[in-house]
Amino acid sequence: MDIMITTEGDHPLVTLAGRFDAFETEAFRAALDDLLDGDTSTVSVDLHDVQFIDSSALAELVRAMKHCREAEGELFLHRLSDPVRVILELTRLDAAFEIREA
Amino acid sequence: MMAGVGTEEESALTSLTGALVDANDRLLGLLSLITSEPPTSLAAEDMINAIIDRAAPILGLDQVTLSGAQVHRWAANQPSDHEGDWSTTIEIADVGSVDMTFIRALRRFDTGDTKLLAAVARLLANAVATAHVHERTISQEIVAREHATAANVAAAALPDPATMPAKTGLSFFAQLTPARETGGDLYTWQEIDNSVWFAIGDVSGKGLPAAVLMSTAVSAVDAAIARSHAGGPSAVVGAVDNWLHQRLSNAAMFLTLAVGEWNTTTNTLTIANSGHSPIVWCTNGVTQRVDATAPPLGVIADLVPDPWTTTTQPGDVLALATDGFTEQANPGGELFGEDHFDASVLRAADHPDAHTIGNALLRQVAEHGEGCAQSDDQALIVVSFS
Repeated sequence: MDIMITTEGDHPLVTLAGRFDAFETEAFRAALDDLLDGDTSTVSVDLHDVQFIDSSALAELVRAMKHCREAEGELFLHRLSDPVRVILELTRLDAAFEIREA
Repeated sequence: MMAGVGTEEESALTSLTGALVDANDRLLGLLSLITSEPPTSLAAEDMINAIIDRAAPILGLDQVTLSGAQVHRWAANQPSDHEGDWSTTIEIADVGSVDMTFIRALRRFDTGDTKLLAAVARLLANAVATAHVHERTISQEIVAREHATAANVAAAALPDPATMPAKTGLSFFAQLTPARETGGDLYTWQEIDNSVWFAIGDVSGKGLPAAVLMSTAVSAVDAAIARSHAGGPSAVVGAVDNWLHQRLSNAAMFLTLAVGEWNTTTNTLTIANSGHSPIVWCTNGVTQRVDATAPPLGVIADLVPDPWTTTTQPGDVLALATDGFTEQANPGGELFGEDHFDASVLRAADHPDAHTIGNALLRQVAEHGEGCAQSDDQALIVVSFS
């Protein structure tokens, strides 16, 4: 999975591409922890190019979301790919995340 | 003149004799190196020390240095700071770039020494490579043992198949096929008064952490059914959430959980589903998914799922599986998928026996994944009503 970090407005945008599964959670966690280390508490994650996501990866997104909220920020999920949207709906995790279409 | 020639000849003879003795000593030294006993330890340091202990006296070495932190030095002769030292460095690049420095004080290495040093260097490099392979093998064995432990922990937490519900009007099948790397799939069941209770779930993640949390979750579900059954499946899920939310949250994991109750007197089937799929209800030749009405446990505290309820008729079938079914890939990378699972349940539901239906579903997912490793645990419960 490719992890690209850019800036969107006043907070970081993490764009993921490829297969997001148990093998990729460590790299994602390291990238997020680096971003959330300082004053940043809000992060956007673009999932447009994620072709597959498993429960380990979902748990990692939940962990990041809680981390942001504990610091009074938010984790926004942007542009869900179809496989990601389906799994978020099946698990009702769509009710737990802040999802933005753009 | 003659005496001078004699002295020169004598001197040449002496040198020749010395060279022959040296050459012979080297040959004997080489013989001693290659005919030594096999190593008693496969640790890198032990093997290196054993080789250097034999090579140092043969070559008169004062110091040997290997790249990395291993430095071998003989305290009696510490020549490295002396003027007039000569050193030879031999690099062996094909076994992990082991650089070696051999130092002998006050006497230059000649061509014969260099060849013998090359042989010693090769022996040392081989010892380092052997030690690396040995270390890798040991760590692979440790990982394999951890997986086996995880699988045992997981299997021990699940109920004994011999205790599966056997009520009139109901046929029950449950099976868990573990993946090579243990997932966190679970199921359980209980009979209380006029009700048959069952639950299926999946702890996120894999390996030992998932297996340990799974066994905790099974105990929590069993206890919640025993204590909170009067409130129905939603109350049972709520009780599990109370016990496990913080623990799951601290571990950055979550638990998908569906709890069902079938009342044998009223034929009422009720299911409370927090984040779990796939669950398929098949009645009158039509399938319907029993979707989650709350996120998995461990994500947001105190979110209790709304129950789904129906009245069962003879011929109805309920199939509950885990994502190890729907996410099983075929060699082309195509997943089994939710729709395929629905269709498989519909096809298999022709048969009244839950065992036959369950085995048909297992066979179909195995056929789909033929040639591919099973990527996750596959848990399955089938309930057939008559």
